[in-house]
Parts: sequence; C-alpha cells; structure tokens
Amino acid sequence: MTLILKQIFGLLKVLNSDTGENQIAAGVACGLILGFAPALSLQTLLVFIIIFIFRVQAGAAFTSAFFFAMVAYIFDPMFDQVGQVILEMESLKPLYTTMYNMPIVPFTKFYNSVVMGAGVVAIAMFPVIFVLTKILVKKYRLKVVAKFEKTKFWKAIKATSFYKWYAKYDQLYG
Amino acid sequence: MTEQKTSKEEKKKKKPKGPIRLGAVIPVTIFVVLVVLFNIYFLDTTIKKVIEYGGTYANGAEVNVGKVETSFKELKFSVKNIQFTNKKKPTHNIFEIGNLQFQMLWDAILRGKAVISLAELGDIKVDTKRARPGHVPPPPKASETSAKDKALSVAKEQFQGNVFGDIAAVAGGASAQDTGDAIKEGLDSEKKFKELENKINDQKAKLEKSFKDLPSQNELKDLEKRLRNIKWKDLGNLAKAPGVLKEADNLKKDIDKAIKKFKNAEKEVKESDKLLKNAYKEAEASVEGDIAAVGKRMKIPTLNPEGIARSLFGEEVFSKIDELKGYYAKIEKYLPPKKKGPSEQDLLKDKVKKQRGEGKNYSFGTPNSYPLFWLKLAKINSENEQGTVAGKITDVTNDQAMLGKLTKVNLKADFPPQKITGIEGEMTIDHRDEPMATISGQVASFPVSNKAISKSSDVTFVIDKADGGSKIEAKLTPKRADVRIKNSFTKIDFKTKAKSKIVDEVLEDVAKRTQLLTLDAKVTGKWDALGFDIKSNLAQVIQNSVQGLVQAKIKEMQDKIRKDVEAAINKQKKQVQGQIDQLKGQYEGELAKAQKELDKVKGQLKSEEKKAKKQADKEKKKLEKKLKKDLLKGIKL
Repeated sequence: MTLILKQIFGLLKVLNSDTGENQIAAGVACGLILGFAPALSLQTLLVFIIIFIFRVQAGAAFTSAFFFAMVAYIFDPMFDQVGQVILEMESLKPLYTTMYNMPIVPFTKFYNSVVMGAGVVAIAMFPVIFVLTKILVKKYRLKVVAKFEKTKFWKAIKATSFYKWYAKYDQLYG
Repeated sequence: MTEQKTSKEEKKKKKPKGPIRLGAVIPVTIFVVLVVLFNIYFLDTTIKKVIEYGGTYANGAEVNVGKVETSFKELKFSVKNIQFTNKKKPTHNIFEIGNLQFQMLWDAILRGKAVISLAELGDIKVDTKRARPGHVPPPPKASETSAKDKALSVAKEQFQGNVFGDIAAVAGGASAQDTGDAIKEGLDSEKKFKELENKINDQKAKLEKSFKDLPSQNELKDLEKRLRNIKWKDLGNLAKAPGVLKEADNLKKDIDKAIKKFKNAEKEVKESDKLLKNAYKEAEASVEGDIAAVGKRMKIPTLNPEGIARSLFGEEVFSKIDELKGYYAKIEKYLPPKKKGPSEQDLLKDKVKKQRGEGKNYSFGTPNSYPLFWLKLAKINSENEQGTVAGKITDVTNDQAMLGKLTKVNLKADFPPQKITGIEGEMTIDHRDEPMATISGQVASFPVSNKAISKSSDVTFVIDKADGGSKIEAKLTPKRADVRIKNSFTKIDFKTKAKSKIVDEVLEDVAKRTQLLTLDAKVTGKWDALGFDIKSNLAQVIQNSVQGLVQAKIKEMQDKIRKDVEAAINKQKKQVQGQIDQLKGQYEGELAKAQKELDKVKGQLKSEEKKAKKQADKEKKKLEKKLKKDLLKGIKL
C-alpha cells in the first residue's frame, strides 16, 4: 500500500513538475495494457518488466491500470466478441496452431477470446493514449499549474520556511 | 563564487537521465539470487511437503516421504521411501515405495504442460511396520457428504443386525405378544396417510376455489330468463330480426362459456381423484415395508439364506463398495471426463456472477500436442526380501479425449513371506466420451486371521484362521456401479462361543459342517439405489441348522406383527378413504346438477332457434310468393 501511495504521490509530483511528459504518457499507456488484460499472462509480466526496467512512470501506470480495469469490466463482452472474430478467422488458423504448439507462446493465453480481444484493442489504442496523455499533460501544466503558481495562495505557501525546507530536501534527496 | 555554485547545481539538475532505470538493477539481481537460492536449498523440501500433503489427502491417512532430489537441468525427480499409512491399522503402512523416479520433458514445460515421459517405481513393500503410528484425518462431515454418500449410508443401515443374537433371543423365548413399542417408534404408512390427509385438504381447497368461479344457480336462472325473454316471433319482422338474432347469439356464447367452466371443473375433479388414488395406493404399499421394519425392530431373524448372508456379510461388502466409490471419485476428479457443455448449475452461476475475463478458450491442438498433464509410462519393478511386484501404468492424463488413449494399469505381485500370492490386477479408465472404469483383480491366496463373522456380547462366531482367495470385477461410471465379488475361504478354524446353549450348539454344528466358505456378491444399479445380492454357503448351513428350532416361532411372530400393524393403520386408512369418497361425491354431484340445468337451457335455446328458423323460412317463402305475384302483375300492365 505504501508503495502504491508513493507511486501516486510521485505521479502528482511529476505531473506538476517541468519534466517527464513521455514518462507519464508511457505509464498511462502501459496501464491501459495492464488494465485491459483479464488475467496474469506472459504479456502482463512483460509490461511489468518494462515498467520496472525502463523509466516509465509507475504511479501513472498503476493508477491508469486501476481505472482501465474498471472500464474493461464494462467492455468485456465487446472484447469477447472481438477476440472470437479474430480467433475464428480461417486464414489465421494455421498461425494460431503453430503458436499454440510453440514453446512459451501459450503462456500469453492468446487462445482466450477475452485476452485476444482486450490485447488487440489495448495495442491499437496504445499510441492514441500515449499521444493524448502527452497533449493533456502539456495543457494541464500550461493552463492549470501555471495559473495556480501565479495565485497569491501559492506565493504565500512558497514564502513559508516549511516550503523552503521541503524544496531543499527534495533537491537533495527527492 | 555563488554564480559558479548555482551553475554547478543547474548542471547537476539538468543532467539527462537515460531510458533505463539503473536503480532497478540491484532489486532484480537480489530477486534472481533469491529464486536461485530457493531452488537450490528449499525446492526439494517444498516438493516433499506437497507430496506428503497431497498423498495424505488421496490416501485418507498420513503419507511420509523420506527424501526428494530434483535436477532442474535434466528435469529429473527422485523420491525415496514413500510410506502410505494403513488407515485401518495406523501402526502399519499399507505399502511402501522405496524408489520413485520420474523424468519430465522440457519441451512440454515450455508449452505450459507437464509431461512425464517415464516414471519408475521400485522396492515396494507391503504391510510394513511404521516408526510411529500415522495420522488418520477424520472423515468428511455429514454436511459435506454428497447425495451418493447419503444413499449409501441408507443402504448400510439395511445390513445392521445380529443374526445369531436374534436367533438366540427367539429360541430363548422372546415373544411377539407386545408389538406396541415397536409400532410406537413410528410407521411409515402412518406418516403417508397423514400426508394424504393434507393432500386431500389441499385438493379440497383447490376445488373449492375453482367451483367458486362457476356460474351460480342465480346466474343459470338468469340465462334461462334471458332465453325466455327473446322475442322469437319478431324474427319474421325484417327490422327486428337482426336484434333478435344478436341477442340469441350472445346468449349462446354465454351458455358455451358456462359449459366450458363446468368442463374445466370436471377435469380438475378427475385429476384430483387420480392424484389422491395414486397417493392412497402408495401409502397402502408402504404397509408391507412397515411390517418388515417392525420385524427388524423386534429383532426377528430372517431365515432365508439371502437374509442371513446380508446380515452376516452385508457390511463387509458395503465397505468394499464404499472404498471403490471413494477411489472412483478420485479418478473422476483427477482424470476428468470430457465436458458436455455447461450444466444447468454452471449456467445459473454464470447468470448470478459473471467474472471478468472468462471468455472462450479455443483449442488449436494437433495430434502431436500435449495435454495439460500426461504420465506416459510408469514402470513398476520391485524385487526384495518381501517379494516381487511388476507392472505398468500407461497414459494417465487429464484429457483423454485429446490424447485419444486409455489409461491402463497392470499389476502382478507375490509376497511369499506374508503368504500373499497371485495378486493380479487390471484397470482401464475410459474417459474419452462416456466415462467408465473397468477393474478386474484377484488375490489367489492370502492368510485370514481373527475375521469376525458375528461378534456381540451374546455370540462370538469368528474365523480364527483360514486361507482366503478373492476376485473382483467392476464396471464403474459416474452414475452406475456393476461390481461382482467372489471370496472363498478354506482350511477354516472357527472360534465359537454363545451365552445361549441352543445357539452354542448351532454354532458348533455350523462350524463343523463348513469346510469351505464362499461369499459371492453382486452389486448393481445407480449409486443412489444400489441393489445388493449377497450369497454365501454359510447362510444355507445356518438355515439348515436353526430351521427346526425357531421357524415356527418366527412365523407366529411375523403373523402377529402383520395383524397389529394393519390394525394400527386400518382406522386411519378407512378415514382417508371416506374423505376421498366424500370429496369426489360432493363435487361430482354439484357438477351433475349444474350440468343438467345448463343442458336444459341449451336444449331450449336450440329448440327455440329451430322453431324460429322454421318460422323465418315460412315467412321468407310467403314474401317470395307475394313478390313474384306483384312482379307478374307489373309485367301484364
């Protein structure tokens, strides 16, 4: 729980800082794949590894995974339909048969209609979500953060010794 | 100086970070090291614990494993000294496997499947003494038992009894003069007649309700009045005729409606009568069951050979069937048959709770693909100071339909020091389509000692020593069982003792005359209604020995019970019959009366209609004549 909270605070911090648009956007897009996946499979593990090894904002990934998992619950019947259509394509059957009998690949659970449907939709939406998040973050910083920083309230906060102490602490250890 | 410091800080701040989180390398390394350490130091212990836990569950008594060795690289597992506690004798193992080795396939593991290409079992010993008594977990609670178990426990009750004790009691002068207490314990037929009374009341209420909807006497009279009020004479008048016809038609419709209601009510009366008659027949039939039950409560011995055999060996046969049922339940669980679409229960579950991501699993298997679990071959080869065991187990899998192969077990064993010889067993499990297990086995010779045939405070009839032989053939399906057991005992030394002198003599006589004891049992039918046919030559010998002594007395007691049970039930039976007759008579009478009234009105309507039609035809002809006449007159002009 502490770890998740730390990640969410990290997300808020990055969201309000000058850097990390790509990190946040990649995090949200990865969260989309995690949230849409109905069960633990090889590709979800792969996404976890990517989040862990690459500089993807983990807080953004987990928060968006939580959000997209709820959305996915509603769209499950649609994923199921999409998956069934894809898995029943006669032209792809030889490919599926090969994949089904290949080592390791079956761990992706690609043969399940919901996994296949949700996976395809998530991959198709990945670039859209990435670009959209990036634009939204930029706009947020421009319109919300910049305006907030100009308010008297924020200036008063910034003038307090506690804030100065926190800023120094953040600079050194944050 | 300050400017220099600030620019240094800015440089430090703006230093670009690469796309890889270098800080994650250490935790990943620690995780990998921990996994490797676990595999080196704890994997064997974990597997050992899992085998012990799973084995205990499957065996129904403690299972211990001496040592487990795994080779991750070659995917080889070696298990040493597996001990299976005998749940009936926890101080001993039912058997012990000295070595068990099996090799799995990497190729299958990488496909998410477990395939054991070869397993080897060796150094098997039977009935070995344990270092400490094994733990036997308690049997599942009553609430967890299935309908099958409940049905079997009902069957088990039928075998409870003490034939020699009962003979002793009858021979010793027990009397049937007072059947009161045994009858007071409750009669099934009494309950059924009581239920029938409730059914009569229900039917009465139902009929009352449907008779309330029938047209009342006033309404019938009203129909008659409406019939009388129709001015049939106006049919001759062209202006008024349609109104009269409409009125007559409406009346006809109302009469038909009323007739329909009466017909429905008549149907309901007939249905109620049928239902009550059937229930009455059922209650009457249960009287025979009550007579037998009261006889059993009064411990009247059955002197037919089959009854004696059931009483003496019923529980033993039953326990064998119960064991088979337990084994088959495990086969069904671990080697599941092909699924035939979702059951009604599954569909209902789906309706109640639709879980995320269940979806539909597609199978793209090829003839060379693996099922989720497959033990290709297990070789059993054991030779030690106890004896020899040889055999093989092939194609144990969770998906026979996909593999297209049957699971087969073959076993041959001899344990000369224990005097157990000629063990042969074969089992075929076919779960490809209609699930079925076929088992055949035999033990040519085994020692028997202290086998109680009947043991109570009054009577001891025990096989002290004998040579036994046993054969079993069984066909089991999830719904049915067909089991045949043949046992024989030779070189028998009986141990007999009875409080009653008569019974003591009988037992001695029986023991002297029984050189060979046979026990044949045939158990067939659905699991919840198994039929037990048990035969033993011992039963015939007992019957011959005691017939002269107690048969007349038993007959007298049985007649008395029949008379008393019938007397106890007769009053209620007559009362119920009276109620049924009264109900039928009352409603049939009411119906006949109303039907008569309606038929009368309908008849009148028909005759008035006929009359009116005749009148109308007459008027029509008269009018035609007049018109022709007027027309001719016109032409002449």
